[in-house]
Amino acid sequence: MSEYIIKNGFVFDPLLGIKGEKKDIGVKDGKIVDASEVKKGKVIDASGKTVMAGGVDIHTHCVGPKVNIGRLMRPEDKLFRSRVKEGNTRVQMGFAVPSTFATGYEYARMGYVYANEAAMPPLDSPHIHEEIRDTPIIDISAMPVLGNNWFQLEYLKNKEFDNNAAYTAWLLNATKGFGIKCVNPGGSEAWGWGMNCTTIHDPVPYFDITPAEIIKGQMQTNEELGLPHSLHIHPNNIGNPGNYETTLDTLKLAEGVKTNNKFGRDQVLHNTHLQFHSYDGTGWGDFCSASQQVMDYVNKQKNISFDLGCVTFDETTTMTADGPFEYHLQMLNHLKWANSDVELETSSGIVPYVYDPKIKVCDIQWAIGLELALLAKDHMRCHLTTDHPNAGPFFRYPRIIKWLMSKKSRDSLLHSFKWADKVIDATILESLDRELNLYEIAQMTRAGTAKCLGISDMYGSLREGTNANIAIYNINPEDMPSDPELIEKAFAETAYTIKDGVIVVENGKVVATTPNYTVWTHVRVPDNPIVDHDIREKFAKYYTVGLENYMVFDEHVHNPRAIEVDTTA
Amino acid sequence: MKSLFPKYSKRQEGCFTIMEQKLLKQVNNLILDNSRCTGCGICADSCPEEAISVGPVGAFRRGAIEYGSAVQVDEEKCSYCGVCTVMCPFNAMKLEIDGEPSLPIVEKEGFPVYDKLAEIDQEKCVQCTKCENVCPREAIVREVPVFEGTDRCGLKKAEALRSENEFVYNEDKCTFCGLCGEICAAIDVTRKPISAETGEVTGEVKWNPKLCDGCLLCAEICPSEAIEVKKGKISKRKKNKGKVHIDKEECCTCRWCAISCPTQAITVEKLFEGEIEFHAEKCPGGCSTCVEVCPANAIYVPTPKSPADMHGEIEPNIAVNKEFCILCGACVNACPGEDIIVLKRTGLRMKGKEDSALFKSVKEKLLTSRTSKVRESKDEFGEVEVKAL
Ligand code: SF4
Ligand SMILES: [Zn+2]
Repeated sequence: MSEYIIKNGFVFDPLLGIKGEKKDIGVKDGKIVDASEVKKGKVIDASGKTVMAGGVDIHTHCVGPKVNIGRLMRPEDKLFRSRVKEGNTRVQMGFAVPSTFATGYEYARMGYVYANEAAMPPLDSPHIHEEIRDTPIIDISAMPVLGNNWFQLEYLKNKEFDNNAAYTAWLLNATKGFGIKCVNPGGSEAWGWGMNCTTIHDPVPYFDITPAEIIKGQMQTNEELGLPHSLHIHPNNIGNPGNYETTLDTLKLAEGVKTNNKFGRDQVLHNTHLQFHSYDGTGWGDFCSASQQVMDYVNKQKNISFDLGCVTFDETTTMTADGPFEYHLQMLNHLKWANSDVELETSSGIVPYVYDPKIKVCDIQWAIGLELALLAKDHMRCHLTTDHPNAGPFFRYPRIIKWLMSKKSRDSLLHSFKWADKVIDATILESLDRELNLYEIAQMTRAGTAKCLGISDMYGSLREGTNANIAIYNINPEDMPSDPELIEKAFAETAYTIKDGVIVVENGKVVATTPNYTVWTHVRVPDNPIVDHDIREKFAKYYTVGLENYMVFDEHVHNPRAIEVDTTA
Repeated sequence: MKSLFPKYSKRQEGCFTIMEQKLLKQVNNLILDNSRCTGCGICADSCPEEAISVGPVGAFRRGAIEYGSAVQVDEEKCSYCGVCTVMCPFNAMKLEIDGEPSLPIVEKEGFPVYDKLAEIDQEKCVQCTKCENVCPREAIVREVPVFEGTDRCGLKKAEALRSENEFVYNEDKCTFCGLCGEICAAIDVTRKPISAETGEVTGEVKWNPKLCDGCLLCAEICPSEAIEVKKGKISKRKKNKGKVHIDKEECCTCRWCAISCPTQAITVEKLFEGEIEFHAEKCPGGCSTCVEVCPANAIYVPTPKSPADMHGEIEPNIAVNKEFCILCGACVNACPGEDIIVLKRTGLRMKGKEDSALFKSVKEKLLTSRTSKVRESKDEFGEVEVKAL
């Protein structure tokens, strides 16, 4: 394998505490090595450029059934909005919900090498794994959704935590899943009956358990198993004015919960797309930002982390396992609506959405996302996402970086809004002068996400011995461009992206692909005959598929890379 | 050599299965009316010759099979005694001797008959329509005139009431325009023949108090304000000719009518005493055969609750309303499950001589508690076998 030496770049590696020092990086046999070990390698001149580890996306909807429904129901998303074929790449189709090939290339162009698919309906896990196989370059993990799963509702209702842990372990192994995702706990099951749970105390119909009990129980299970990532939650009452109170109620459930893992993760709860959960007001008329209230709390609590879910002002497609929310959205905007209820497990919905800068509500949503990042004290716990494609497609990350790094760019957009005065009144963005630096951006996009996912020994850092995943950006920290557009351009098209030691992007063009991996968590738990029996019984009685066919076949998993967790020792 | 007489035969005529025994001078017929037979099997338990067996009750009663019947009578084993005719609660068996209905066993030997109590107190009955509607056996005979509410040609609604309205019209004001008569059945406007001699139109306005319901529309429509109607007292309900009564032959004593009667005018006593139990946890669900065969509509599939009200409980698969159950046993015969429905009869309401050995043995069999069984013995293929408890 080829060898490289990346010379004279400004290196940002928050996991190693490197803050823009000039440093040479060596690559040999696909691994990062000390520069002195590279004898005859090709020299990549990174002078005047920024060098970071390959990006790690903590929350994206890039593979799986609802993503595919999104592609199917919106052929217009491809028309005139697809990229022209470049070099020897495959055809790249789609804008808001790109095809698998477009997804992989696009991530690589931004210097990303890892994406965590945020919602895998366990029953549909083969679909996820097939799409992972067809997504080039980037490694992918997928979190099974569990907050509305019948087994779990019953175990947690009866306070059978060991059984819940054994079931969770079984499910991760059966679906080759990564960690526990919880979407609208209880509410998506209630949606099976056309209902919802909008606070953490609304009991789930029939099951008579509250979202609060589900969340607490799942955190306990997560730490009992010692999984790499924490419970990853999308709280109840998403997208409604005044919902920040439900969000705070949800986050407070983590108080006093201790983490137990060997993966270097500090949080016990990760609140995803916090922007959608930080709303104040009583309706869309007096709708305003609650970023201050939410961040006052988050900054104090050390055992929670979050990602932003920033609005990008695009015509996009929303897709979530929160069935009632999507229905609600469709009743607001009267666009197409798809819904899929998954037996015993979860729900989901898909609705197109246009975040139009001429609309006050969209502008406030945009401001809230940025406020959260600018108010955050610790960017290792605050991550850059758009809940792709819900608040906007992931390839807008560079645009968000621009807004976060440049007050000038934020203000000029803010003042251009049709309802600028109202938006300024309803938000605090204008008063925030903070501009994030490259170190904080590196925390938000690789170091922090890798640490929170519990994979910082494999991704998110340029530590010697790890796989050589490297992004080199055309941006000089000693001479930052005065035109904010150049920041966006630099992050949109790397000078080089190196994946597992192979140069895959050069000057913003995809030049090669490498095999990508499926990261999952292999959990060993003590034998649990009760859970074995319950699984067999539920499959015999209620599932439409057989137990043997439910579990993903080994040969169905593309290049598995298992993280081992053993609770039997 | 087989003798020529008695000669046996069986034939089907419409819904009747006719068993025949031909003697030299006499013809005996046992006639099973399949439209009335419920598959309860009381005839089979009562038959002194064990000539009757219960067959595919559920399939037959649901109309899923066209051949066969809920019970079968072996016309050769049958002695044409008529005990089944006496004991059938549903009037489905008839014994005819030489073409005439006849029950010598009751007449000559004093075999008891059901002491069926099913009556409507005509004083209390208001001739409403509920009992007719709830009766599962078409045993309510409602011989009451129809009104315009159900039939346009029926009696006028005013005829249902006793009213003391008064109709006053001012002859001086009346122009004999005829409008009031056009709109109301109670008013007749007749005009005298017209003549150029007077050049006037005159006549008479007649009012029939029986057809006036005091609606006052005539007064309203009169262009010359010649009519005034003084509303008098309207007494509640006028009983019309006719009555509602129960056809005792058809009545199965389920008490639906007695329980539903708004004036408690109906007295019905059940034929059997005893208990029925449904062990719903053993019912597989998705069957509802018992619901469909129950002649008294006493069995139901409980309606699911709203999930928010379920609190972890799922409604039972099956249930019975004991108020209506007549302990006939059709459900036990039809149920394909095991030990779900348990029937225990403890007494029969009979009148007449109850101490004959024959009746005692019939009674003993009928009072044997029972439930259904899955694996029945192979020898009696095609026949229902219940589990005696
Ligand atoms: S009780 Fe018996 S007959 Fe009635 S529904 Fe259940 S299985 Fe069917
Ligand atoms: Zn999401």
